[in-house]
Amino acid sequence: MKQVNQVKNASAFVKDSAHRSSHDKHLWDARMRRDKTAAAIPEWEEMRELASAIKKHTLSNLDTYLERFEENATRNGIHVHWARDAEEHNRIVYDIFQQHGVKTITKGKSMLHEECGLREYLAERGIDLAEADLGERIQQLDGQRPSHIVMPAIHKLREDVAELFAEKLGSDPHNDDPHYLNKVMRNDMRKRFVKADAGMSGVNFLLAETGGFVVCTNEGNADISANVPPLYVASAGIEKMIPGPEQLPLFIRLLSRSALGFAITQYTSHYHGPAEGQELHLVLVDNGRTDRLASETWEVLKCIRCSACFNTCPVFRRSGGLSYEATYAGPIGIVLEPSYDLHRYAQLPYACTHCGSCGNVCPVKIPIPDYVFHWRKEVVEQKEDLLSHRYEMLAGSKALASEKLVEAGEKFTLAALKHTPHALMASRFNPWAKAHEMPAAPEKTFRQWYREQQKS
Amino acid sequence: MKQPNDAKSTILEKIRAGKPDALPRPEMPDFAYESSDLVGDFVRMAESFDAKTDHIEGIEAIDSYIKEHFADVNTIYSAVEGVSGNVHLGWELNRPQDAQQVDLTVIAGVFGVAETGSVWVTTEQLTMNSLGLLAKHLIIVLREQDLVGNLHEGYKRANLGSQQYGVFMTGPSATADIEAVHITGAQGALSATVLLLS
Ligand code: SF4
Repeated sequence: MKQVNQVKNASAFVKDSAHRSSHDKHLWDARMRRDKTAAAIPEWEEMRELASAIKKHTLSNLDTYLERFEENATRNGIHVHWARDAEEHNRIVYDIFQQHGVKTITKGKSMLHEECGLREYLAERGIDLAEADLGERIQQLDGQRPSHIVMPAIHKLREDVAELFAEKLGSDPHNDDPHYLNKVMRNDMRKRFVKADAGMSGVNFLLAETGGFVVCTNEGNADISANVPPLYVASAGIEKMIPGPEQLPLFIRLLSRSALGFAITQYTSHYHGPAEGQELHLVLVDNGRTDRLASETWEVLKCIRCSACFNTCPVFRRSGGLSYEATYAGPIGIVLEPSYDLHRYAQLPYACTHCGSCGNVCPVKIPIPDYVFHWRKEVVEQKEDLLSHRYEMLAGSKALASEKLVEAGEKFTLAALKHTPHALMASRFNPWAKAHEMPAAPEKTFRQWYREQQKS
Repeated sequence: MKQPNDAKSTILEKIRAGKPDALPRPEMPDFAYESSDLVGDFVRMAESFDAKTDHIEGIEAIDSYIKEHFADVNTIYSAVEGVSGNVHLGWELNRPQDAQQVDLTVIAGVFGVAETGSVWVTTEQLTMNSLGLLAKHLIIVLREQDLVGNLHEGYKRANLGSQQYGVFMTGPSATADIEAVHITGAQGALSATVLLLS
């Protein structure tokens, strides 16, 4: 497949200041709220450490936890299925639907379903599936993948949604009030919920000890999809496992605070069997996870998909999620996607400024910055890199080998900072500068300052 | 289904072959919740999620509370003894879909969590799960003595696994998916009121 050129893809978004600045602002607001709510909990850092250790423990014993989970879930009346890859997952789901004569489905948002291309798979087979999360529904109607794992349509402005809903749902094209647009969505979904033959959702956590699973949403769409139709099918990546209810509060406390800066999701729901008169299926999916578990970057599997790393990432905020052309964008995406397809995603590890912020906010302490280096190394070793990146790295390593060169470089940078006008920085050679003003330059380099301090 | 067990053994074998060396299971410390005002904390948090809260003297006061605050609702379902409804399970309400016609559902909460402003509700209180999800408005009756501090205490009390469905409900349904504008009343309840019984 063609290599994704994230920089080129981002350029239109970067130029479009209305979309870009709204996107940047909303994600930064989420990041600031996250800081505030995290700071209000004295044990926050201890919780992150512990969450990481629990995930590592579970992943390093994943086989026994999966077996325990299946045994307990089966006892609870849940039909458990196993899928090696996306294709097998989709086939299992479709088979269940065929056996039940399912024609219409409402579905909670699930990144795993995106990963499997489930929506397209079922559409090709004539099943009418409606995404029941507002943001995800917007993206479905627009024929786009979600641009953000928690806020799927955050790259859009209200007028985009008004235009889309007018075309697809027959609403007033001149009314772009988000409250009105939400009502249009609600009214349409309400009709679908009561007609749906089946409901679907993803899963946030699997509980081995009780054989249940947890789904977290704000809109209530997953709960309705799960509880109203006579059939409910949920899909979970095998890495969603934790030991049980004792560890769960730790993750619930971290998840929504890290995501949007709120203490909890409006609906934090726990399933330990089918509702009365209902059938409940759960598909456990590998799709590359066991390969990752055996790799150097296995800690990516700790991810709880909170999106804190997206919201804090300066590259993501300014380029928008669609530019990554991948299921997972942002910091976790650039260290996850190359493991699916190194050639296709060889440029993603370069969509990073090395600010290190993702590693600082991640609630399960995934060493994303280290993994970025790992993948750049891998990309170079497999000769998938761009020449421009290679020269940059070569120049960098030569320079770093010589102290004189480094010092000269520092002085040059300082001079450049003082004298470079914005217009020059924002040239077409430097897409990141388009939304940037140059920082004020300090009077001296750190080295000059340090020497003076030493003398005095 | 084609050879589901095959997939299972392949996945388990791949895990066994490639997993990192087993790491220990960390002990869970007791994260205490420090506060002298659980009721105040709960109310503040619940309202931050756009729940309405009110104090009532007793169950018998709820009927008149509804008359006063929900004057224009037509259909009321009550799963709380002592609160009257006008639609009933087994009569108007048979299938989960029937909950769509309910304007107001009244249920009891098992306990509340001060840290988050959430109320724990299960199938036992909801009687039919959809009644708490499709109804336009929700009243949850909660005894003040049933408040706990944080989610760690909450989960101890929830006794997961004993109920088919259990949910921490926090305010009405909400979304911020269009330009991050916060809107209450997404797919679930348009409003949620917690009535605290002292
Ligand atoms: S990598 Fe960490 S911060 Fe990013 S989505 Fe996953 S858990 Fe959240």
